[in-house]
Order: sequence, then C-alpha cells, then structure tokens
Amino acid sequence: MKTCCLALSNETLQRLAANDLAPDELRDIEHHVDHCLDCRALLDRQMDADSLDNEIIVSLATTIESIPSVATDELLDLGPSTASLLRLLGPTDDPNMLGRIGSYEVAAIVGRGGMGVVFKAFDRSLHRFVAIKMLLPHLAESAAARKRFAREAKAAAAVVDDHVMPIHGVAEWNGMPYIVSPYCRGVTLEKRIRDQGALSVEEVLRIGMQTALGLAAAHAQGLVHRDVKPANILLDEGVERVQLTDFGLARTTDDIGMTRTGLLAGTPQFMSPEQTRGEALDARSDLFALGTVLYTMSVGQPPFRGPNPLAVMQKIANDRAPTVQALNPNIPPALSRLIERLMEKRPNQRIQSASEAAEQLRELLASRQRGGLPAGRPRSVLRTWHVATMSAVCFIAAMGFYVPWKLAATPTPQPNAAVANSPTTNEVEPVSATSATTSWNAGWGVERLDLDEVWGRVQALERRSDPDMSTNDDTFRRAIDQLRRAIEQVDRRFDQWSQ
Amino acid sequence: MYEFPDTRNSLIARVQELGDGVSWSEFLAIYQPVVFRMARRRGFQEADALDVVQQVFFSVSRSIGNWQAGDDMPPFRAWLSTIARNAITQVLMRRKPDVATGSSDVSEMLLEWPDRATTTAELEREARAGVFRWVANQVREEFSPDTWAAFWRTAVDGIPIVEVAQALGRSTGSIYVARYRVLARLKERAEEMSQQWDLSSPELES
Repeated sequence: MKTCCLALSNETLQRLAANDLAPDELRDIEHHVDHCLDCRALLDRQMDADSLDNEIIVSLATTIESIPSVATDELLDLGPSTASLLRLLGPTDDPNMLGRIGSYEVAAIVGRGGMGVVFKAFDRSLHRFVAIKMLLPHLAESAAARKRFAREAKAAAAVVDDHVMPIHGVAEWNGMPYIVSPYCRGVTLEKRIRDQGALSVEEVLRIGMQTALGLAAAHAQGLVHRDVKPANILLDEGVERVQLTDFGLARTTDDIGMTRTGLLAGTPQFMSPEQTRGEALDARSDLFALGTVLYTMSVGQPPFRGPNPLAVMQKIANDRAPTVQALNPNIPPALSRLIERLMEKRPNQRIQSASEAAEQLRELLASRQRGGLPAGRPRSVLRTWHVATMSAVCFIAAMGFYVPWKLAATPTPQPNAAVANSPTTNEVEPVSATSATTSWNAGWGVERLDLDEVWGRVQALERRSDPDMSTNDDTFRRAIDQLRRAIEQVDRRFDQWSQ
Repeated sequence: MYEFPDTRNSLIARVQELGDGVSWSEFLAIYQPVVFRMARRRGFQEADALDVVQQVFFSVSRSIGNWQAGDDMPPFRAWLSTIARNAITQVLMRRKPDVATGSSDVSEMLLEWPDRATTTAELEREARAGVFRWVANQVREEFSPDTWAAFWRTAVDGIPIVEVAQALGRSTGSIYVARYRVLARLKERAEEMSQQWDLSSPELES
C-alpha cells in the first residue's frame, strides 16, 4: 500500500456527498481509497466530524422494535414502495447503481408521487447525469393516459428557450413512457420560499420575469402549461437562471387524477378560477398562476389557503386575495398592482400575454435597479382622495362605531362634506400625509388617507383575531364586505374617469 | 423538478380533515415510536403503552382543526410538533402504570418518576432520534442495497470495514466511500427535517 495524497480534495468530498460523481469517477476513487491509507484516515475522520454524526448513528443503532398494530398504517403509504419501483428497472452490473432503464444507469430515486417517479440516472454515451420521469405502471395501463403523456412531452420538447427545462427525449421502457431531461442540482422555488419565506423585491421581479419569458416561449408554440407553481420553477444553483419544468404534464395527471380516485389530485393553490370550474383553458390561465406565484414570492405564502382542496378552490373562484402590499409593505405598489392585474378573476381583464407580463416585470426590475420604485407610495393622488372620502363615509355608515385610527384631520366643508360633518372626525389624530398628497391636497384644502392605507387597514381588520372585532361576527363581516366592495367600485370608477 | 405534477399533495385529498396529509403521516411515523418508547421506559406494559400512544394522538388529532395557514401561525410541522410535545408531556406526567401494590421495586420506581424537565429533555432527544430514523428510511432508497448495507454494517453495527468488504464481495475502498456517501446524505436530510419539525436545536431544555 502506498500513501499519498490529495486525491480526496474538499471538492471531491463534496461531490461524493452530493452523489454527483459519474460511475467511472466513483470507481476511480474507490480504487484509490483501496490503496491509500491517508484517504482512509481522512474518510474515518469525516465519520465524527461533528456531534450530529454521532447522534444519527446512535439513533439508528437504537432503532425500536416495530410497534404492534398501528391503526394508521395506511396513512403512511406515500405512493409506491421502493421495492415495487426497483422491480421496474432492468439489471445492472454496477454495484453502486440501482438498475437500468433503457441505456440509462439508474443511480437513485429522487422523487415520487401518486402519478410517477423521478429517477436520477447516468447517461453513459454522453457521460452525464439525467433526470428520468416515468409514469407509473398502473397508470400507464390506460392507453389514453400513456399517449397523452408522450404527446404532451413531445410538444414540450419542441419548446426551446433558456427559461424552459429542455427535454432530451421521450421513450418507453417495458410499456411505461418516460421523459429524459437534464439533471440539475438547483432547488425549486417552492423549497426556496419554504426555507426563506418572502423573497426580496429584486428576486421577485427577476424570477417572475424569467418565468414569464419561459411561458411566452411555450405559449408561442400553442402550449399551455396548466400547472405553473413554485414546485415547477427551478432555480439553477449559483447561476441566476430560472427554468420552468413539467410543461403539459398536468393534463395527463388531470385525466388520471379524476378517473382513478374521483377526487381532486394535486394542490389547487395555484389554479386559475376557470381551472377550478373545469372550464377550457388558454394561455391566460397560466397568467393567473404566474400572478399567484409572484404573490407567493412577495409574501411568503400562497394567496388562497384552506383546510382542504375544495375550500381552496372556492376561494380562488370567489374571493379576492388581500393585496401583497397590504401584507408586505416592502412591495412597491406598482408590483402589487401588476399582481392584481394578473390575478383578475375574468381572463379578459387580465394582462393578456406572458410577453407583456415579462415586459412589465423587466421595466419594474430596471427601474428598481436604478434605485427607483420605492415601497409604499400611494397609487395615485386622484384616487387617493376619492377613496379616502368614500371609504370614510361607508365605513362610518356601515360600522356605526368609533373608528380608532386616523381619518382626515382638518376637514373642510367640501368636497368631502360627509367626513367633515361626521362626529367621529373631531376625535381623531392628524394623518401624516406623504408630500405628494399634501401638495395636491393644498389645492383642495383637505388632508386625507391614501387608498393603500385604507385598503391595508381593511385587510388587517379582516385578518385580526381579536375576539371583540372578530371576523366571525356576521354583522362585522358583512360590513367589511360592503366596505371592500365600495372601495373596489370607487377604484374602478376613477380608473375609468382618469383615463 | 423532482416533484411530479400532483405527487405528494394528492394525499391531502385522503386525509384532508387533518389539515395536511403528508405532514400528518410523517408525523405519525416520527412521533408514534417516540411515545411508545417513552411509555415503555416508564414501566407501561406493551398494551398500556399502546394505550398511551392512542391517548396522545387522539388528543393531538382533536387540535388539528385549530391550525390554519396564516402570518401569525408557525408552519404546520412546527406547530404540530409543539402540540404533540405538550400532549405527550401532559399524558406521561399524569398517567402512571397500573401496578399491583406491595412490590418495593414498583414503589421505588414511582418515587423516581421523572419530573417535567427530565421528561421534556428526554422527549426532545427522542423526537430528534425519531426524525433521524424516519430520514434514514427515506434516504435508504436513494442508494443501492449494497451501498446501504456497507454503511449500516460498518457505521451502525460497528463491524470492521475489511470484514464487511469480504462479506459483500466488494473492495475495502468502496466500503469506505459508501459509508461516507450515505452518512453525508443522512446529515443533509437530518438537518433539513429536524428544522422543519422545529427540533433543530441539539441543546436540550432543562
């Protein structure tokens, strides 16, 4: 035996840990360690590098004898068993590999679900790792599903764009169709949001713009994604590139999901209203989903949540989500508005194309990078004034109780006479208006709230858990609802009026 | 990219009344053995220990409806973890094994009944171990059976590497490498999951 060496550099160790070495590289290292005492010692030292190693080993060494008769076993069934998946593979000679699919050596199972499984595999001819997505055998039994899967995958393969995950090929293995795409070590946007919560404004704009560009490329080919969500948006490790994955696959799972269980498959959180109603979809459905993704990045969680899929779908169809700006004051109003426009319930009221959305996001990003686009400015002075008046009026009318926060401080008889004459306004503290509002107001001799502030407060009221002001109180809820509708109405009127 | 459209969330449809199907099933897999172990350690017979398990999870399942995603709520797993730990401590502090009187061993044991602080620390330790065992079950399938066996026999069973290499018919070097690869992956996942279950601090409360 000889000694050396620097064969196991930190980088090699990292790649070993990441399971990132090609089979021949792995064999070279094994062979080297076989003969190198230094490297053995090095690997020995890695075994108790920190207390976590020890804790894990002790935990595993004291694994409990299985608990008898646990009634909830069926809940633990998270899709097909490993054994059943391994049976799908052909035999391999390489002891480090699990098996074989066609000419690919399967290294690991990296994802699974009710519909399919994702393998990490090695492509010997091109000497690279790939990801193989395979429809499960019991689903592949349905010829319709099998064909659809292959057809959608081929259509998606035709989309060539920096922001769409390329598809190397579509093939079948023992009657099960599978898709081959590059293997990336990036994380999904879903994981990123789960780990970090809301992203920075720049990131929201950058990721949103690239996603929109990917969508635009696919839409240009007549392809609707149907399942735009953070889990399908891949952030390349290190590189500032965003890729959209899984084009069209949702349609296959739609078919199967409905027929097999009679229940909804998948998370509905990023569905469009028309999708929740099972209507025909066009590219604008993806735009709603894009809005939902931007929303989720901006505030750290999706706009529509509920205890079960049905409740979520009802909210998507009927409820208006609080504006992102109301939930996260760091979000510039322009971005908040853009998200609202993408998330319009009716497709024809949305921004109409992904390229338009991308363009707007690009402009916002550029202006942000120039140091513009500050957070929390009122949307427009004009609307600010009217909404303040209107909301003050209907709030007082609807609630009939003292409003414990700032309203107009120095009311004048006109034009908001109703506010001025209301008894409540005498008791409240002055509002600190922005300079823009103040200068504009000077012409009218009034001071008031801006729309965003009112809106934010309404949202806050809706969400508060204070039992005295609980939204569980029907009267209160109705009043809030009236107020919300009034604001929206005024908002729309003045949009029309100011054009 | 490794999430098939639909995937794990379809489970929600099956256990929707519980809030989040995936987390709930993970939760049972992690915490049931923890409760069972702690109950057995306190002198409960197997059947009674199972009874304790049932009591804890019944109590937890009643609280499930109280969780709703929201700004002021912790993530589901973290929340569930807290609820469970409270329920476990409560049940274990209150219930004592039914025993025949007169045995000095038993009365001695009851005198030394672990106090709340001891129970809390034990619970943290056990819950972390539960997460690690769950992670191991998941990680196991990312490796070939040979690679996993190489790790388990050397690291967990403590069998010398050379012997394991002989038994598996593989080179010594490949066993070294396999052990390292598996442990590295286990650590990565263990850190991630213990954080999600709000069990990331190895410092035990006292």
